[in-house]
Amino acid sequence: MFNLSKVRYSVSQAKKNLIRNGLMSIASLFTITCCLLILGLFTVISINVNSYTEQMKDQCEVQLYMTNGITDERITQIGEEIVAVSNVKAFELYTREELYNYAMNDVFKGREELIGEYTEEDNPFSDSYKITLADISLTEQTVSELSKIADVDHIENKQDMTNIVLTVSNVVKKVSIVIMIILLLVSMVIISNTVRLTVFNRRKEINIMKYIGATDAFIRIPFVIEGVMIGIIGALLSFGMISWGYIALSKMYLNSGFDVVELVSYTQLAPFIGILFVLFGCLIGVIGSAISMNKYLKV
Amino acid sequence: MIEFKDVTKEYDNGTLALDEVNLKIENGEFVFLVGSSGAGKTTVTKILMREENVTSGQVYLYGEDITKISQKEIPYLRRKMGVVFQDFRLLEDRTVYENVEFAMRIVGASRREIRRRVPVVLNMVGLNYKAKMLPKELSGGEQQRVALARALVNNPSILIADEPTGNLNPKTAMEIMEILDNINQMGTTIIMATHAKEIVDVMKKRVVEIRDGKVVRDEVGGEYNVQPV
Ligand SMILES: Nc1ncnc2c1ncn2[C@@H]1O[C@H](COP(=O)(O)OP(=O)(O)O)[C@@H](O)[C@H]1O
Ligand SMILES: [Mg+2]
Repeated sequence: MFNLSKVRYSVSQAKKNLIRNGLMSIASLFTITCCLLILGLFTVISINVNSYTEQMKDQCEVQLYMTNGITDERITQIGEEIVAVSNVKAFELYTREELYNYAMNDVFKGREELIGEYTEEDNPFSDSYKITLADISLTEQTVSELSKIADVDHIENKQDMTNIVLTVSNVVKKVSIVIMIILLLVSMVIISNTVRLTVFNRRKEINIMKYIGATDAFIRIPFVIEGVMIGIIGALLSFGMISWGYIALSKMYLNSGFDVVELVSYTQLAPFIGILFVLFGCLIGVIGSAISMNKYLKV
Repeated sequence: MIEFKDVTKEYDNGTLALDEVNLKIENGEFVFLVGSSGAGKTTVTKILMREENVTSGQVYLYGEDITKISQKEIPYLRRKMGVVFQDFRLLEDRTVYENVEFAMRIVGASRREIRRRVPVVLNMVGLNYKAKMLPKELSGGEQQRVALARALVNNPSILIADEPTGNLNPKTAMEIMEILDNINQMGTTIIMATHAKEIVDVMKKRVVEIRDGKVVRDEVGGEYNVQPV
């Protein structure tokens, strides 16, 4: 039903409308681009925070210290009891001798005076297990279970740090979603206004088209294409800017010497953001033009 | 063939525009709808094009009741009809050629069809040599001829003209009537609403008089003869 000549007509009509609308088109393109830029910014931050949280989760460990003077058999036994606790992914033993030797022969070699009068018998270190947890969010529970094991002196965990990271990542996610929705709505209103202006400017033509027997689809499609064009051009522009900015900033970050947290690489990020932007562009274009047509284009 | 059967039209504000209208028009006829302003002539044409729905009654076009067709079918109904108005309704920013071409594009004609057909209809209305001009560079009569060309370019079997000569001087009006008559000779049914007495009297066609929404007279080869209300 929709042959080539109609498609060509619809696209050329949409282009003409964009150009005739001149200033309004540019204004809405500018706003859409800005909206998508902010959107992209939040997506990029979100993705990085997410990836950082994932890394944190992998490194989620607690250190379990045992009371001094227990036998090697007991230490092995404790290891078995640790495995029995749920949420424990892996564990590794650090003996006091090991630590003492490491400190003496590696860390403080040649500067023994710094650590005072310790000897192998008067070893200040304790035997401990490094325990990796499977699920970071269950840390508290697991720690309390672990502390019930006999001959456990104390457990050190990075709970506070993990909590902060988790809270931050949750907040970032929620804020991002709220901002995305707001920007989506703003963009749709802008596109819908631009298309409404076109509908108004073209009302005589639309009227004549109806008399001649143009179908609803034929009348509407140029307006949809106009909205989608604004959306996609805005998406491509902001995608370009985000890409450029991300590449430049991550280079600066890597060279700064403060690159403690690993950033998600651009090549990993680009397809996701690219597809997201184009989808958003199309979506706001289609919905935006649909809104104003339903209101102002009674066919 | 067109047939109005007990057609009543009451607008939303309560105006009774048509009151039990019965009217039959055969293929190839030339019919004048006459009557004073507000009689209901335009309403008849709007119902034919399904721009307005009837309040009650049926309207048959080639045996099909067009008051029953769905919204989706309306464009295809309108393609069987060409329409011209008193105020021409041309697109001011397009040339004569483009205005006519526009009608073909809307129905999805190919470029080749357009290139072949548009000059033919422009020739029919005598405007070949002004194809590249804009409407504002033309006289009223010429503008109406462009509108006629646009109405005819898709080969409709019915031409509806609502006061087509209302904005024209008598001489130009007669030129338009000559074209309409030619089109009618080629087989197109013509329904023309008018209150141009001279034209109706001179043409000696079928005259249907409407008064207060009712058909009060229907005579072949009739005259205008409308009594002012
Ligand atoms: N859209 C409308 N809403 C309400 N009343 C209308 C509308 N269109 C026409 N009318 C009324 O219906 C009657 C017939 O109008 P119309 O068919 O335009 O008459 P004519 O074309 O013979 O001058 C008039 O009284 C007119 O005021
Ligand atoms: Mg009228």
